[in-house]
Amino acid sequence: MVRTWTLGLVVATVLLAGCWWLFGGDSDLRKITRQSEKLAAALHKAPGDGLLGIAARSHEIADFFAKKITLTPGEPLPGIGSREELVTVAATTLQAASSLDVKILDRDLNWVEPHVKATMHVAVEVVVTLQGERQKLMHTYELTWILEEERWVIANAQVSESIRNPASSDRR
Amino acid sequence: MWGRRPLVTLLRAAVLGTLLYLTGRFAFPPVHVSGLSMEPTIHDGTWRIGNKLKFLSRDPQRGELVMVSMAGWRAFYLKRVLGLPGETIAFKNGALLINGKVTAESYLAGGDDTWNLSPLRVPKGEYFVAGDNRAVPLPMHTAGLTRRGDIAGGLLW
Repeated sequence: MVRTWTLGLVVATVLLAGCWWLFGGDSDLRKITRQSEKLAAALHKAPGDGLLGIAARSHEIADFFAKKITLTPGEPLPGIGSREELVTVAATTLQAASSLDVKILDRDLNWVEPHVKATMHVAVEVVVTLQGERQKLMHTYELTWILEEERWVIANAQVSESIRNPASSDRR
Repeated sequence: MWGRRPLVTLLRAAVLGTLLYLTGRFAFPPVHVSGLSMEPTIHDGTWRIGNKLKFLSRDPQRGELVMVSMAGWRAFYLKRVLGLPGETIAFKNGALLINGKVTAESYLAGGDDTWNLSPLRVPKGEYFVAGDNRAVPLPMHTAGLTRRGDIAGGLLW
């Protein structure tokens, strides 16, 4: 009887810990994680997506970013200093690519200022078809997330690779 | 299905799951290879088993495959060690030169002689790593210097 109760207690503790992990814990961390997943999903383009769809998608992408931004996405993309530039670069990129898929492989997050500002390192796999050639690229970015108007948005993004190519900053 | 003592079965499953998680996270992570960087040695889409314990007691040697951390604990670059700390590495028409001497690379497919790199001294505490797919031009390849601390392990299989 005692053993059964002990086992029940252990199982209940494990279940409670699981529920806390799933639904509770650091809710800001979860919000940022969710935002990064949504951004990756927004960076999708299927063959045949029209111009109107691309324009709407570009504005949707810009909504994940702060009013003041500094983005260094890496070659061949240019540096970006405003949301207007971001919309233009996103539209141009989506238009140039026949298809685009961005998948988050893993991430880690550190608080610069708890519940106000955080730095995230994110490893992504980018599968892009450009001029008929399908490429699979792996990148690591450092994103700075800030809380702006009660939403978590990206204020800064830059390539942050653990392997530094002496021949170029581009990566494959 | 749950046996005579469902709670015990559940507990055993929980213990087994925890052990598998800990083994995968801290010792032998399953590695899903993505990309063509390590062709022809390792193919895109295949599975391997990593070994995070491999370089705990010794340093990586030239020719060994290493996992280089990207972000978090599940994403790695899979590369081969070419240059060791303190060495000078260069490429001339595809040939690897270590301290000025041509060094054979038996694992390459051959026929790709486009890589060129001026002599570069590998700093202390760093390694020069690259993939085996030399068909990709060097500026487009994830190859170069990485810190010893970013080498998360090697491959078990």
